[in-house]
Formats: sequence, C-alpha cells, structure tokens
Amino acid sequence: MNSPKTLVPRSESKKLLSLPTREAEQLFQSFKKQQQLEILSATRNPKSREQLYYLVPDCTELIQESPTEDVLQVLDTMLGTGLASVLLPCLSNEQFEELLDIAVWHNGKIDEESLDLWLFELSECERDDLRRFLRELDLRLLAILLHGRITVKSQYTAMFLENELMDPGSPAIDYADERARAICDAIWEADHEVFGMLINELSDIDAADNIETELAAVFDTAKVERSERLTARDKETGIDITEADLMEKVDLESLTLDEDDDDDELDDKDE
Amino acid sequence: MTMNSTTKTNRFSLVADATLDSRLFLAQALAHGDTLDGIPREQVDTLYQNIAAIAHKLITMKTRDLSDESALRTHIQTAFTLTSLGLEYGSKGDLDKAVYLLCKNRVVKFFQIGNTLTEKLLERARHLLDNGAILPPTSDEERTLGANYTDMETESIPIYTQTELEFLKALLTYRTTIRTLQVTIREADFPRAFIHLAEVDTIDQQLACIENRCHYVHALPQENLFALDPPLSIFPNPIEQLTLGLIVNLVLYRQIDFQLDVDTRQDFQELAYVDGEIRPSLQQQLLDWISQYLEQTHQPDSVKTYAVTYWDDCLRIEGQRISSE
Repeated sequence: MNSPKTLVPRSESKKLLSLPTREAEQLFQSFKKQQQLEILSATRNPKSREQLYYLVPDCTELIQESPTEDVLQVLDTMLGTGLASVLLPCLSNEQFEELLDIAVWHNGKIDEESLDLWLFELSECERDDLRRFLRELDLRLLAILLHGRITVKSQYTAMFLENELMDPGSPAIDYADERARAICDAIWEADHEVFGMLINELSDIDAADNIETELAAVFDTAKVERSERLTARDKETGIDITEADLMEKVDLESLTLDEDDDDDELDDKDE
Repeated sequence: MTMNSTTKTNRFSLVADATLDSRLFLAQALAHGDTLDGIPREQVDTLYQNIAAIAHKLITMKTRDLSDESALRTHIQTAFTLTSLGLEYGSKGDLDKAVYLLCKNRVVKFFQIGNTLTEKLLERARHLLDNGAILPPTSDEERTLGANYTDMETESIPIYTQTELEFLKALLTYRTTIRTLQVTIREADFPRAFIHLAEVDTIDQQLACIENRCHYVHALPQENLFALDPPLSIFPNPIEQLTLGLIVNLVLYRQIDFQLDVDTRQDFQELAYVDGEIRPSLQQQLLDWISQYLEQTHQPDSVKTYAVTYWDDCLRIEGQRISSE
C-alpha cells in the first residue's frame, strides 16, 4: 500500500495515464480510496479523469464521493452521444438532483436544449437505473417542458390509465418528434406508474384555462425550489454567495461601501 | 497566485488551477495587504475562498458544457476581472483603501460593482451589433423615392468597420482589442481581458465614437445611398467612403451627394491637397459645414464634435493615400 505522505496526486495521475491499462489498474487500485479521490481531483482534464474512473472494477463509490461538478464535467464530454448513460447510474440520487440543478439551468432559467440532451441520455440508461432517477424528477415541470411535443388528445385519460389501457403507442398520444416518443417509451418501460403520472400532468396542462399562466407558475415554483436547494447545499460547504448575488446590480451613483472602523457586525460582511 | 494555494478542500474544483493575474488591481491589493500586514492572516484565506466561490458560481451558472475548458477559463477570468474592476472603482485606485475595503465588505460586492460597470458597456455593444447599420429601403419606401427596385442595393450598410465588429464582439466576452481611443478603430490587438478601470473608460469612449457615428450617418439624407454605383456595402469602410463622397461633391459641385468615382476623386485631390496635406482654409470650411449641418438637424454637441473629428480624420487619411500613391 502506498504511503499517504509520499503521494503527489498530479504526478501519480500523469503516471497512471501513461501506463498500460493493466498496470495502471493495479497501481490505482493499490491506493486508498482517499488517495484515489485526491488523484482524481488533481486530474483537471475531464477525459483523463474518466479514464481514471475506469481503473477500478466499479467506480460508483468514487463517483459518489467526487464533487458533482467534476462528474458533470466528465459526463458533459459524452452528452448527446448516449455514452453518458454508462456513468449516469453511478450517481447518487442527491448527486443526480444537483447535476440537473446545474446542467439544465443557465442564467437562472431552464435551458430546454440541455434538458432534452439529458432526457436522451437518461432514456439510454438501464430501465432500473432510469426508474430510480425518474423518482427524483419534478414530473409537473417535466410535463410542462414536454408540453407541445407530447399531446394527450383523450378526455378519458384518467380512466384509460386506471384500466391500463394507455401506453406510449396509444392513438390518444401525439408526438411532435421522435425524441419525445423515445423519452415516453423509456419512461413507460422503466416505470408504468411514473408514465401514468406524466400523462396525467400533460392532460391537466392541456385542460388548463390559461396555459401560459400555468406554465409561468410552474417555472416560478421550480426556480424557487432550485434556489432553496442550491442555498442548502452551499450552506453545507460554507459558500455564502448565491446566483442572485452575482446577478445583482448596484447603483453606481450612490455606492455605499462599509468603511467604518468600529462597525464589526455589518450585515454584508464576509464572516 | 493560484486559487488553491491556501485552500484545503476541493469545493471549488473547477477553479482549482486558476491563477489571479498579478496585473489585476485585486491581486495588487492582496499583495499590498500582505506586505503591510493590512489583512489578518485568517481573513486572507477567506478572501481567496470567496473569490474562488464567485468564479465557481459564475461557471455553474453560465457554462452549458463544463468540459469546455476554454469557456471555463473565460468565466474564471471574467469573475476575477469584474471583482478587480469593482474594487478599483470602489477604492478609486488607492491600494491602502482597497485593502481596507476588502476587509470590511463582502468580496461579491466588488463583483457586483464591476458587473454593473461592464454590463452597461456590453448592452451598448449588443445594441450596436444589432442596430449599427443603415438598412435598405422597403419596397414601399422605394416607390415613394421613385426608384426602380432592381436599381437598389439590398444589403445593409454597416456603420462600423470589420475591426470595430471584432472589438464589439470581444466586448461580449469581457475582452478588448484596443489600447487607445481612436476615431475609427484602425489599430487593434488580439482580444485580451480588461485589466484596469482605465481600459473601461477607453472602451466607454470608443463605444461613444461608434454611437456618435451612427447618429451622424442617420442625420444625413439617405435617399440615394442604396442606389450608388458601386454600392457602399462592398467597401471595407463604407462610412468613410460615404463621407468622402459627400466631401468631394460639396467641394466640386456644391451639392449634397455621395456618388464618388475615380475621376472626381482625382479632381478633388488635385484641388484640395498640396503635398498630401489638405488646404487649411478648405479644411476649415468643410468642418464648419458638417458642424452647421448637424446643428440644423438638431444633433447634440457630442455628435457634432465627433463628426467634425471624423471628417478631419477622413481628410487626413485621404492625404496619406495621396502621399502613398
């Protein structure tokens, strides 16, 4: 076993990446988990980091103990190819939630293009893994985002679903594109119950009096909930800077900065 | 100095390798504080952590693809730059005061100041990119003008040059291509991040030049602009071409027109220039003319002042052309 005192993570990373696979596996597996994590953390190139994850028979533990941003960086190199589905199942439920909070939101808004790519990757996952992740998704929000691409035409949706008379191939469901159909197929195969919940949500949205108001309300709720999750996670790691802080503008004409020597307990001080 | 030099966790792993450019006012203030023992040791670590947290947050908020290392570098640079500009603005460039302010305020406050300062510039750059052109007349307008549709050039005429387009695009990523203010950007560098507040002032004035040029051009009569032969849009600097056309027609024919051909240009050069230098009396007459014209069209002083400088610059460049020929 290698001594923690002698480990230089960056050098070890370079060495591991230069060795033949078998030797690299042996060397990497000879390190303690904490050392492996240090080596992974020191490997800033995501493609190289991905190679290191594959040096252990099952990288689930390493993935789950890596920062979510680092894992997302690796997954981003594969996004849209279907290959991310190989590593996705290694994520914990919390990491998956955190990943979506970063990956499908940009500048405080949902990025539908990114979400579509992630849904595609999810649809490529094993159905057991997909079932686990589906339970983490906000189905109301998912329905809102798929609204327009999936249309439920029947007014008897609830009854059909209750009697298991509806599946992705039902004539009562229209798809705007193949990707939407593939997503629906995957959800059905993974979890009939979630499929039914999604169809019900889609049906409710279509029946809403004012769809625009409904969409805005759901987005607003999702935004608030995400912001609360981010704040809670940041608090755990000691970060007190929020996205709202970064977007806040100041009045340059009447700028106020704390300069009072005696005032040590000002609201906007760091610590 | 790297962001992980004093950190023990990997909570800002995306920023781990980032280096605070020593030319930044922020880096200088931190070094100054270190030299003077102006910042308590324990607070230095917190400051670095907070600077790293800003960069980290900015990346996760704005980057679509975290594996895009170039995008990461840009956002890290932006976070450091905006924080530095905000500190320089808040302290008025005084390092002692900057150290003091760093100890007394949240670091993100300086990012907010820097962001507010630069966002205005970015908005103006976006506006110019979207609107800095003379648009061809619509079919209805052509009928009113009595022009035949096929006689009209249908491409819009950009008011900024290609070099200025690159300057405007660079601004959108918090970069600049100029070192000094220029009437028209003729000398540009490879895009580089802003470092100091003085550069923001220069950018502010450079944007004002292009904005004033837009006002100047839109104040001119535009009926025949799209019927010129050759069309203005084929020239690398169409507004300079348009201005020279107007100057030549004013001098030779005492009329407002923009058509410029080789012979009339040569006649103008022979009449107006001696050894590549414009005749001073004619130069003054022309500058007075454009100033009065813009006065009559109720343009503000800033536009008049710029247009006079622009005309002077066009006349100077024409003189250089004559000398080089």
